[in-house]
Amino acid sequence: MIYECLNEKIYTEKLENGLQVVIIPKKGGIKKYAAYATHFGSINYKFKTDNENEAITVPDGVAHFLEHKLFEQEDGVNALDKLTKMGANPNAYTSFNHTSYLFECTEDFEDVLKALIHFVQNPYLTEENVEKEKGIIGQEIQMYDDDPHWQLFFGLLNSLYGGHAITKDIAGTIESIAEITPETLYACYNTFYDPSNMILCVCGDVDVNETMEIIKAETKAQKVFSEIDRFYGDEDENIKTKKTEKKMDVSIPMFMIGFKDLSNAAKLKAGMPEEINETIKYDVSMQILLELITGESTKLFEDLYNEGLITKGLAGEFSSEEDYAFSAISGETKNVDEVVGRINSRINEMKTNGLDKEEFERTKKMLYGRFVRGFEDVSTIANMFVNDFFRGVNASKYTDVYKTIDLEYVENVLRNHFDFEKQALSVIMP
Amino acid sequence: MKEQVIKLNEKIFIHLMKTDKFKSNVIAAFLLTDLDSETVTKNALIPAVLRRGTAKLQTMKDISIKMDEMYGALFDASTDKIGDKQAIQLYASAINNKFTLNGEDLLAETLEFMFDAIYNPYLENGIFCEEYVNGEKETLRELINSKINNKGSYAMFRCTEETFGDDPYALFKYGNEADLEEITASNLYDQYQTILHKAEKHFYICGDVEEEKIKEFFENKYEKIPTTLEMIHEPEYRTKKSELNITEVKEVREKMDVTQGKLVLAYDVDVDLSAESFYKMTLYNTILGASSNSKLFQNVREKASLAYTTRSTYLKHKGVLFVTAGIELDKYEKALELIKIQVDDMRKGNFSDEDIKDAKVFLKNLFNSIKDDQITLVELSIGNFILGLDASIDEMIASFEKVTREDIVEVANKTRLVTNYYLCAE
Repeated sequence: MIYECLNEKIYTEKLENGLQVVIIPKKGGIKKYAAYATHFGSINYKFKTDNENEAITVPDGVAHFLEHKLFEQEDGVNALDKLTKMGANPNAYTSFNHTSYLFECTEDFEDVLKALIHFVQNPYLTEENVEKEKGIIGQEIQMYDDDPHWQLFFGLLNSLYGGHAITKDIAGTIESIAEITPETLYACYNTFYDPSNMILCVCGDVDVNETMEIIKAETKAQKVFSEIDRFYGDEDENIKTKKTEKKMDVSIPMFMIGFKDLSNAAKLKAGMPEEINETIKYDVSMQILLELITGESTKLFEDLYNEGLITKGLAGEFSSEEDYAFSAISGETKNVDEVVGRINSRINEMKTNGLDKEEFERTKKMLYGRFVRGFEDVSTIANMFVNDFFRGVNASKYTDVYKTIDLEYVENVLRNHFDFEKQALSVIMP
Repeated sequence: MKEQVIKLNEKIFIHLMKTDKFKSNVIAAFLLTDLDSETVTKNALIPAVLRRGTAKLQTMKDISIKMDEMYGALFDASTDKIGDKQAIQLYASAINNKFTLNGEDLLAETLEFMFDAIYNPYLENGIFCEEYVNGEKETLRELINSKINNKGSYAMFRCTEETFGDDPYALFKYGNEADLEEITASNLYDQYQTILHKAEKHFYICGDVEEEKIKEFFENKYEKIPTTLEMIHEPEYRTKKSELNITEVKEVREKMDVTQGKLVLAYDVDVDLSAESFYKMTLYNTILGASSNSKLFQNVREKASLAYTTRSTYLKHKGVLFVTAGIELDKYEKALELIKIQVDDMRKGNFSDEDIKDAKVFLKNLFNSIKDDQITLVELSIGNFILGLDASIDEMIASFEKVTREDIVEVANKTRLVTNYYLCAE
């Protein structure tokens, strides 16, 4: 399939081995980027394939641990070093629901791409190298322990969710990673690193046909599972607790409020109208609403700033995946109760009075422009496609939605999402 | 793309980066003034006040609405420390006219707005608006205090402060809380007038632009702005090497509620700030600790598992090298020893020809990548200008190629540990 978006062509193909390929041959740039990602992240702690009778449970942090270990290769040359030597800038990350191996380079793209595919397909895990990694990851976990923004975010997740695996720290804990063995890692690898569970996305000034040929030749079909059953823990639509608070060495209180929404799957199950289930439309609506609640063009922001209650912008974000969805509004203030109260009044007022037509149109235009701007950097583009793929979204559709979405639809989302019964607050205090 | 510099007069430079490969146009302005303890806080406060409003768009809300209407254009004003200069910098960026839905001329609007932000700020009774100044003083107070929030950058700042002592480079770019008391709308406006008269001004325009139009725009604007004698005065220097006055290693321990220790070592490097030294030191720094093939990354993180993050940074404007590491609290001694061994190995020439080759490939890729990023292009250019380095990216890459093993060993032997700063638990 070929899509078009802002003068760029987007080529997509599902290979015979099940791998989804997306190539965006962005002309004129020097940087070339590729991401090879699997639908396996920190929330996948329990799963079952057709080959097994029972679901298996793995220690927290295993997806992230595997991400670190895949760079280790049998010939003793670390893949990170190998790609770096080739002039590329390789990296990897693990999110809640996927793990991505990526590189950026300016030359020898094809060779580096082959090297990327090769190392992701050839794990080499031994007792010794798994043990050694526990030290490095332990350091990483401690680094996040001292990061107030990370702690704030997880405070919110732990208020919104009770039993869902999203509350587990992505890297796990010092205790949980101690239990990881090569066997655990191979079990996960063999389940989730099958091409049918993966995407390869390339962005940059490359030859589409040649790139496609390389990918076809280099990616191998492994055992093909019909389906992986994923278990994320018991979770209902209610929040766990209204408020979480933590003390840290910071200069000013930080807060994050969030609303728990039904996941995309749960919305379907609850029999919500098809239209409200269009992920892109719902997401764009949430972007518009969050901007209308706290953006710098609002009266609320102006008032809070002029009264000295906030000293920088409030951030609004919405995450929606197959198995969870929530919004988060965060900021720093001397008076958390006052600011949270004012944000809630603003939401109430919008729910009661509806949206202002002029503000709505302006915000749409603004978000469209921001999207165009984001379509500059090869890594931003490719990561967007990867992210969206795992939630069943084709990212080339955004521009149309920005142009066409109507006020009535967004007002429906407003009344559906911002339910105060589903609101929680996380605070970091000095 | 070649950068073209149009010198309007001794103090006004227009840097044109003409290219049609980007989806937005970036306009940046740098007002360069000497970094000085007397003015650092005021200069940090000025951009914050400029951000509040112009004569036409009097509030932040007005500006923000205007930016929304310009398809989510971005505008920001801030301060930065570049060598011995403190820059008041303004950035604006808007999508290319060709992506607008109704054919608006966003480039012209952005230029006009930028000029207004600098020359026509919102005033009351002929000086800055008191409410804005007082509000921004509190915001700046918070910003100064918030430096402890990110432990890594806090440790880096503290080590810089300890290393430079009385030298202006020790100053925090946002200034001191104690200075805020004395600042009024009136004396702040006076300081801004001084800057407008004395500061060297650099305008960057990067994107799909026409040279003639840009030139005409600035010539028209500056026709109406009187030039004073001070404006033809060349700066004495833009940056220079500092005397650090540290004879024995300065050991600094600081305690905070942390689970991971942050170690920062500062090395004085006995080199001048010439282009040649920069090329040699960049190669040295890459091999020691700037890439994932570096000695620090390989030996301290990968082989010994002593740190998750460890790297080295060469401060090209001051000729000082920093080594940083985030380490487990009980592994301080071991990590320190291993880091020192890496630095020593560099001095002894204990690195392979392959390491040199890898570093050159790394730098080539790194610098070529900058060509795809407008903001970084601008930052690199102004940084080089202050350093006095006149070279295109391709020329810089060619110069890295020419650096030899002897060059690297030579600069390695000019490094001397001056500060050992460690942020640890209470």
